This record gives sequence, structure tokens and C-alpha cells, in this order.
Amino acid sequence: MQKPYEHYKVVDFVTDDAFLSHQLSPTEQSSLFWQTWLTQHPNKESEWHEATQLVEAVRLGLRDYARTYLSEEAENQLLDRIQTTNLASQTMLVVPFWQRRWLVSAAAACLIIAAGLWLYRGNPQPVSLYQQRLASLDKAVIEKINTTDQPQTTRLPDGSTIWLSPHSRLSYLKTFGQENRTVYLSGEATFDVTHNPQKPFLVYANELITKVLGTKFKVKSFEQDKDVVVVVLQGKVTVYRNEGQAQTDNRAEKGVLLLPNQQVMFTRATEHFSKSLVEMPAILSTEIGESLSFEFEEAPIDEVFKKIEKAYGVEIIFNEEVLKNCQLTASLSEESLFEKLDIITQSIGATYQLLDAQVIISSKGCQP
Amino acid sequence: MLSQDTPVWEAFLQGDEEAYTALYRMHVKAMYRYGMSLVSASEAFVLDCIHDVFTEIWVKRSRLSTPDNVRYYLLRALKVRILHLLQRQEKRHLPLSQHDFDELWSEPSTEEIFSDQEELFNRQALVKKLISQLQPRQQEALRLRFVEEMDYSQIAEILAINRQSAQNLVFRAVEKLRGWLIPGCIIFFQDFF
Repeated sequence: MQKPYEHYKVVDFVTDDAFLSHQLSPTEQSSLFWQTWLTQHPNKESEWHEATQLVEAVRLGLRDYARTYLSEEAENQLLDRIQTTNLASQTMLVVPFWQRRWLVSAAAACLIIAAGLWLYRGNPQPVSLYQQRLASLDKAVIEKINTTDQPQTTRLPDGSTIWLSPHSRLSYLKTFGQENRTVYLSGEATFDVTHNPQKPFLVYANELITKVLGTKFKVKSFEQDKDVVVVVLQGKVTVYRNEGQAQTDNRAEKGVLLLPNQQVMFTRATEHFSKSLVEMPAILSTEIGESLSFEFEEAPIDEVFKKIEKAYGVEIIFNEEVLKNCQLTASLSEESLFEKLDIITQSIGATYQLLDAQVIISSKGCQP
Repeated sequence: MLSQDTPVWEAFLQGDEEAYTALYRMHVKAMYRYGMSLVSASEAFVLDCIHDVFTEIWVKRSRLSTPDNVRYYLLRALKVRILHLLQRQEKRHLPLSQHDFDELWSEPSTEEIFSDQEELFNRQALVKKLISQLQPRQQEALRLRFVEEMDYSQIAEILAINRQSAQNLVFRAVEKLRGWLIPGCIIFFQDFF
């Protein structure tokens, strides 16, 4: 449909989509069109040219805007941040509140397990636990081996997604999901597990079995020589010592239940579990609309501790009677959990220590 | 420009992280300058909003469709995010409507505009200053049309108005600029010939 260009004035041209597109990003087609049009309408040439100059003038005036400069460094830093958040959202379900409803209904849950073949570096064994376990399965197995240097994505029949890290292997029965949901891991992987209380999701990784109970959690285990570590940031996870095929029913006493901000380190040499708080406990996500303020104005100390317990999901043990006169006025929104505890205990003349995953407060109390 | 990033976008929808990074590289500068033109006060805030846009499309990738124009899609998402956060921050105040905002913008007289012309060393600074005298909404429409190269339907959607109003905004802005430029045009138009 030809527009009535013969009636156009300067500003009409400058405002016209087709004219502007030609000025800003000319194509062969648009050049041909305007050349033809100008030869057909020679009386319009001066207005057409003034329009061209006006476009140039506007572009000139917007040049600073067009050149607003984002440094390469800032661009790369932002990309890093974005990728970190994406990785975390695959593993943590800590998502902006507007997505949370969707995720809860999808009832997905995630964990990262790491337990390496390379743990055997200093102590080579002819056959790894992983291989032993695979050999003991008498059913058809699907195995994924990542020989690339990028994580590989695998989707399980139940809808769970697994990102398998480089140099890692993952196996599961062809019948996965029919009777149970069990996978076998050697190396490192991130799991996004579809919630199904009837069929717990089990990850066998060397001596440990990690079982998913809830929907909001992250488990992360770092490979350290001789150790296997599982870290929980949200939700609940149980970690068992794998006692072999025979004792599958009797795991309860040998397991460790991990709550948010807790981790367990399994020392392979001594077969010892030790549970503790993670290095940087994070504030657990709150319900929609609930705000967590750490601005305290002459607040009774037990209120302060209860707030922190709730925010971080940690247990703080203190003598309420001894501390009943203690108050706190402080603004602690920016501080980490341990910085908060440092400030609070210093201001009331107390000390704290960490025992297992608990915070123990010692104090002689405050003057009334 | 309309379709060259469509295959990249589609690869990203499939979960291709390289495609996702490529989209970021292609569009982050435009998002940055557009974001900064909306809220020039806080670079950190703009970067946060760009972060939110990219992480959100990553999470939602399986449910997204392919937009006709990826840049337009991303800029619109950025503006929505910025406005959303600003509104949340300013909940306690009565929200100013766009109309109130435009009303506050008094029209400068031609004398005012050219009074300190001597201080402007070059055409670029002059036109830039003239553009800065326009209503903020007209400035935004100019940036979207002349630099981001969006058509009026897309500009209309970003500004939440209809297509004709979007075109009118640009028309009035260009008309005004032309009116200001013509009296002094000998000074700075001669170089164009």
C-alpha cells in the first residue's frame, strides 16, 4: 500500500517508519524504492533532503545517548552475576517472589551432589564403589558419561533434570521411576528433582546416599580429598552412610538430617560424619509479604535471637533467665549471620560458640 | 535487524547457554543505555534490573515464545522491571501519573533555549541540549525510534499508548526541534551540505 508521500512535508517524512528505516538502516530494496520515488517526484526533492538532514541532526543530538558506555569489565561482571544467579536458581529454588507460586506448583526440588572418582587419586582402587554398584544391578541401566568440558543436561522420565559436570558419570535403571527413583553418581552433578513424596529421590554417591525429602532446598557437596560434603541451604535432606545392599531397611539410625544452612562432612578415612553450619548462612526465603527487619530499638535480647533463629533456620541456645535484662539497639540488615552474632554478643558482653549446628551463647547477664 | 537474532533466541529457548550469552552480548549495551536514560541516577539499579531481566528469561525459557524483535522484547522487559521496582520503592507516595509528570514540564521559550548558545561549542551539544528541552516522554520516543530503531507499534507498547499517539509524540518532538533549529540553521546546518 503506497502512502501519499507526494503530500508529505519535512516532518511527515522524518516521522515515517519507512523513511526512517531507510535512513537508519538502508537496504537495497529501500534504496531502490526511494531513488525511484525521487525521480518520479522531483518537486519533493528539497523537502526530502531537508528531512534527511533533520534525521541526521536528531541522531547527532542523540549521539551521547547512543554511545552511553558500558565498560567491557562491567559487562563481564554483570554476565558473571547473571550466570551465578541462573546456576543458583537451578539448584536452590530461591527465586523472585513472582515466580515462586509457579515453582511451588511445579514442586521441583534441586540438589548438587559431588563425590569424585578423583577422590581416589592418592589411593587408587582397581574398582570404584560406583562400578561395584553398577555391576551389582541385574537390570538394564542407562549411563550418561560427560567427556566434554561443559555440563550436560539430562532429563529423567519423572521430569527431573540433571546437569552432569565434566568428567562425571551418572546411571539409572531403564525402569527409573516405576518402582523407585534412584540414580548413581560418580563425579559431580546438579539435580532439579520433581517432588513426589511417594517415591523419594535417592542419589548414591560413593559411600553416601542422599535422599530428598522436601521441595525447597539445595544440597551441595564439595569434593575435598578424603571428604564428601553435603550442604543444605533450604529445605530438608537426609544423608546416609551406604551400608551395602543388605541393610536398606535399617538406615534411619545411620543417617543425618540436614536442615537449611547446615552441612555435613563425611571423612572417608574415619567414616565419621560431622555436622555444622555452612560458612555463610543465608537468610531463608520468607513467605510472600513477610518482611524481615533487623533494625532493633531497645529490643529484648530473646526477641532478637528468635528473629535470627527464624531467619536463618539455626538453633540458638541461651539462658533466658540470665539474659532477661539484656537489650539491643542496632541495625543489622547488611551483616552476615556471624557478623550479627559478633555484634550482638559484644554489645551485651557475651560470647558465642558453635557446637555442631547450634549456636551457644555464654553470658553473665546484663544490669537491669 | 528484525530476524537475525531469531535463531539465537530459539537456541536459547532450548537451553543453549552459549546462545543465551550471545543474546546478552548483543543487547546489553542497548539495555544499559536505555535503562540509564530512564533512571540516570543509579547505575547499580539499572544493572540490577538488567540482571533480573536476563535471569527471569532463563528461568522462564521453556514457556517463552519467539518475539518478532528481540531487542524490543528485552527493552520492554527492562522498562517493566524498572517501573515495577520504582513503584515498590515509592509505595508510600501517591503515584504520579505520566500526565502529572508531563504537566510539570514547562515549555521553554526560544530565548531561553538560545540564551547560552555561545557556551555550546558544537552542533552536537546544541542539538543535545534542544532534545533535553523536550518532554521526557518525547525524548524517550525519539531514542527508541532513532537509536533503538523500533517502529511505532513497538514504541507504543513500551510507552503504553496506541500507535498513533506514539507517532504523534515523535512528530511533535521533531516538529519542535525543526522549529528551534531553523532560525539558527545557518550556523549549524551548513556543514551538512
